Amino acid sequence: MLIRVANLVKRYGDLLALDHFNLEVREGEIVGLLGPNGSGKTTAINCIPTLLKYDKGTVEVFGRPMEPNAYDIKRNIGIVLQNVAVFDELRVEENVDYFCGLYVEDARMRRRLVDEAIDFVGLGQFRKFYPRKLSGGLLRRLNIACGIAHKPKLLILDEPTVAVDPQRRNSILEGIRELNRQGTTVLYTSHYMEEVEQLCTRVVIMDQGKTLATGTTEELKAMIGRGETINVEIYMLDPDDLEQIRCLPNVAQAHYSDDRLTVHFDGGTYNLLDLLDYLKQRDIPFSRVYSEQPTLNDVFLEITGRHLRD
Amino acid sequence: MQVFKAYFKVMRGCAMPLVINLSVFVGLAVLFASVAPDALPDGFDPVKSPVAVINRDGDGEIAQGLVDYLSQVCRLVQYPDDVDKLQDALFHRMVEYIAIIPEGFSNAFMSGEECAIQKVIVPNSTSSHYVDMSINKFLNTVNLYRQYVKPVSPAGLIAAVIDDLSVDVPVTLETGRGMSEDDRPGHSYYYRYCAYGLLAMVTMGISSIMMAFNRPDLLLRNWASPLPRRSISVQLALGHGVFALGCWAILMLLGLVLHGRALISSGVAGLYALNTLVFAAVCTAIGFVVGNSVKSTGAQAGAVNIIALGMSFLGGVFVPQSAMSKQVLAVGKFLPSYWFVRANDAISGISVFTLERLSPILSSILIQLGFAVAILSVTLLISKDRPMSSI
Repeated sequence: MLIRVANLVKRYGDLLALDHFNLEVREGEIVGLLGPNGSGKTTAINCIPTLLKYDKGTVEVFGRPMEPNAYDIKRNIGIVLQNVAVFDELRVEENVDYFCGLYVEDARMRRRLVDEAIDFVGLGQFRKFYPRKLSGGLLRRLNIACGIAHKPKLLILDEPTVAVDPQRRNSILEGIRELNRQGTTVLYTSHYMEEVEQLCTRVVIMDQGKTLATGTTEELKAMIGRGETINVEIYMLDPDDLEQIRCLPNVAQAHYSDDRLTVHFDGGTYNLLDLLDYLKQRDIPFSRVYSEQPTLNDVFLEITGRHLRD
Repeated sequence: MQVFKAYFKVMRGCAMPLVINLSVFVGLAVLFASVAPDALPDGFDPVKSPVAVINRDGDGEIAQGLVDYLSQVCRLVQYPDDVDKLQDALFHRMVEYIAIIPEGFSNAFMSGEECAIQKVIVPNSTSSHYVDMSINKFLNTVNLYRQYVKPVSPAGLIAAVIDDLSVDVPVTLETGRGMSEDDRPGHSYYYRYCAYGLLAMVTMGISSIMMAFNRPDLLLRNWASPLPRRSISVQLALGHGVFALGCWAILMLLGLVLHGRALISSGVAGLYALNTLVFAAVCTAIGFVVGNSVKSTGAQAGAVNIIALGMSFLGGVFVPQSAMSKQVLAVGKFLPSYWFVRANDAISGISVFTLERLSPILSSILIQLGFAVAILSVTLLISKDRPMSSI
């Protein structure tokens, strides 16, 4: 186990930021910590490398208790903080070199690692730029380069893609996957469920400082016992037909309003075909048809009664 | 030494205000160096005033003796006994004193009768007082001999008086004690203004660095690294020391360029250097406080200006301490700049390097050192165990 967090409690005065929070990250995983703003993700992330003191609980990294002076453990951890943490007074390459130099003493190796990190985030043409000359997205990329330059075994990323354009976001996500393929274990926080679904091998959903659910995306979706939802635009639907549709296999709910038929399924594989067959047999004219798979938001909604981005 | 190396790269980014401060300081230093004299008066040369003596007593021995004496202590200018010509000479400052010895003066003087030498002078001239003193000294001494040495001939009496008055007593002129502002050499002003230069540059530079390294997210990133916090602090402290030394060295070098010859001949360069070095340590501590206290560059610039100008004015950098009121001086005593200026003024006036003369200088320097240690200790105490949650 690379990270084991047990019963972590952290208070800010009266506010309970982490309430017996638990987390386990195995080697080689990309674990996504998913939760709405204020759910305690950043607090949890900061407690792991002891950037924050916590009130109760234990944190183990690489199988050893994590202490503020556990420098040999810290040497193998890379951190990309939520806010951009670079020197405004240093150029892009100087920033990456500085943070890489905190971990790597050999100058030649450091030069190579700095070059690789800058290329990795696509800042090659901005090496000599000062951060104030970079756009928000480029700054984010510099922030990532500073955190990954020393090739850590464990990489902790706290919402690293905020304000990054979609194209570059995909490239960053692909880069993280590549780092993972090279052996880096990743703990990734985000409130973008699409990102987490796309990237993470396992997801931890948290809210109000607690771990609500853990598992792969599929496992989490299976937890809520709900399948796809199919919407069909129909000009006129007879109530008897609606009743017949409710009797089709795997149909959990069906309702018709505003010229739209919405059918929720609780599983099954050929639900769309079954529905369309019925409409064809009954000669019911329809126009647009679309299917929605359950999302992590649905999982969150099911567990907490709130949407992820509330 | 990653932090130490980054220190000076970060400093490069804050160089502009430092260059501006240094330029202002150099401009002022050059200006004052060109105005203030570098050498202190270290001897006495009697000045011989131009004097015209109209001797109406002819061969009177006392009158003749007075003329002979005045010829030794003044520059006698020959003029005829003509009122118009004498007034013209006085008007054009050809002479500054006209002494008219009346007829029968010698006899009247020797017989103890009341008699006076008439004079015409340039109003309020210093030289006329000097000539008055010389005439009075001669006549008083003659009178003394006349009364108490008997029998004596007028010729013998005059010879004895002139002989007496020609005796010189060797005098060592000790400069410095109670020196007025006008007497101070140029290098004294230069090193006094160094207080402002150091306050502005060192405080600005160090606080800029501290602010850069104290940015919350950068702190977190540094603390997340395998570099111990103590090592980061030590490297930063080393950077502060090197930077303050660099500023000090620049000002010392400039001092040597502007006042080198006078400094070397006066033998006080070392004391100035020590005093300024200790004050640089005080500025380092103040910069550390500012860097740990303010959060924005606007607030930093304001704080540095208030501190540099406030301490300079209250400490007597711009206005001499002798011209400051007791109340202001009482406040000033709580500022290191006051003790810096006090030591500086004492150094500028010192000519004899005895323990008695050095001890006020050293005690002022020690007080400055005490300020540096106190400021630094309080700041370290406050920031030492800063909880991570506070950032």
